[in-house]
Amino acid sequence: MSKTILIIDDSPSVRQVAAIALRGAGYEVVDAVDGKAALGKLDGRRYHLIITDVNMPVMDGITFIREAKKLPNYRFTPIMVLTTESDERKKELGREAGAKAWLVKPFQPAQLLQAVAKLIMP
Amino acid sequence: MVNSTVIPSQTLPAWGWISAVIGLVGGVVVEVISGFSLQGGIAGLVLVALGGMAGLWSNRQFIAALAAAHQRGWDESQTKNDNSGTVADLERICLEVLPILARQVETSRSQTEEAITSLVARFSAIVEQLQQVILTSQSSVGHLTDTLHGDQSGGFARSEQRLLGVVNNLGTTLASKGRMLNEVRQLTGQMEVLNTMAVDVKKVADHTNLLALNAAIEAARAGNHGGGFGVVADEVRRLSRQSGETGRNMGQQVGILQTAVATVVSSAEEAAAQENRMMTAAEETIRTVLSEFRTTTGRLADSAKELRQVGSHIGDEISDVLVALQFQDRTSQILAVVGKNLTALRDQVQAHASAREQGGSVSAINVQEWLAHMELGYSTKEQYRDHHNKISQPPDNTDITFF
Repeated sequence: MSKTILIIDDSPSVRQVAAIALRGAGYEVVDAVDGKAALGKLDGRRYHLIITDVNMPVMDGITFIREAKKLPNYRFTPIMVLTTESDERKKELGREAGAKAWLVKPFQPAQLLQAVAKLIMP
Repeated sequence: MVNSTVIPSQTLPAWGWISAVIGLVGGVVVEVISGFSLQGGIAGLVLVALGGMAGLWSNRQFIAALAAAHQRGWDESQTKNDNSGTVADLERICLEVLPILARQVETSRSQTEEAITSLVARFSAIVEQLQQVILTSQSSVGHLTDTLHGDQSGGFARSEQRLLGVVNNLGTTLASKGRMLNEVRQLTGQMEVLNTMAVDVKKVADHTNLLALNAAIEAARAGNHGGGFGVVADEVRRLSRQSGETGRNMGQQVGILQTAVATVVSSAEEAAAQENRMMTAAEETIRTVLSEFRTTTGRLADSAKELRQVGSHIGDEISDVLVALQFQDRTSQILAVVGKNLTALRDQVQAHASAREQGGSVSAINVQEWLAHMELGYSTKEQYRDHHNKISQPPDNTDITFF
């Protein structure tokens, strides 16, 4: 059974590029346009990994991570940040919120898949 | 604007008059002290003249200073008026231009985003179709490879075996017919034996007839005593003639049979030879067709493999293009911040203009604070570099941090 990944980004192109890379590697992909929409998809479905952008309208990525970590079903779901932000203070905010990795865009699909494989529990 | 400087009237100030009066008084005092002598008079006139000259010089100095002061005051007033007009113009330009720039930036951002999103969607569809083609091709190539190089249960080998089995069955049938033909040939030999036997029967009949004739002659010579024997001899002669006739008929029938069998054997041999040639040709044809089919399927497999490789290469290229198209996300964020800053600047100018027009106190703008506030909205390294006017560089390679 393939593993499912939730990807959150307000940029359709980034969502599609990431989805192509992930689906090509055999993952199932569910996507959301911002943090609030993503919280609506944390409805009991199992996600093996969540990938989120930081700067998004309605609800930013850091707030989403904090809210997701409050949900018992998703407390231990690994979350990776995929963003253009490379500022160390922002990274620290992400780490404090509960992110497990921080990948700066633009990304190489191979590197994304490598990080995903490392974060997803066997 | 026309310079309409008004110079004050050239009136001698009080201290100028005092200088002249002091000179005049000094001259009178010298006249009195010198007892109105000639020298005293000259000295007094000199003092009076000096006093007057001092007064005139003072007056000119005063006028010049007054004119300069007036001019300076007028200039300051004019500068103030000019600055006020310039600031108002600047404010108007900013209030008109900044929203236009903000809208144009937003239009550029949204159009780029829309176009790139559409482009990415199309490329995504191409990638998915290519992956599907590659999968199908891989499956076909695998099937063809199995067919061409698989074990005996493989499709191609099985087909070849079946077709050659048909040829072998034909060969077996022909062999069976050949054996039957040999039997018929042997029957021809038996016919010869029968013919010889028929000839022998005729010879025996002729010989018996001759003996019966001799017996009849001897019976006639014996007279009445030989009458019965003569009847027997005649009967034997009749039988021998019949036997000879039967032997002759047998020979004729065997000859007819021999001719018929020879004809059948000849036809069968010709048919067998033709069938052998046909079977050989069929086997050759089957082998040729199978060989051509093998060559064709081999080429097809090579073509499919090449198609898969090319498709895979194109897929990689498109994936690289998709990765490159991620620039849109960065430029979109940069342009969004530019638009936001233009709007904020417009609001700042509007507040400044409103305060100035209402005659209220216009608070000074803290430029450094403004710049620092702008910097807070940045998310990419390019924005920081551009903000600090450093050499623009492409985005860094992918950076990943595990916590």
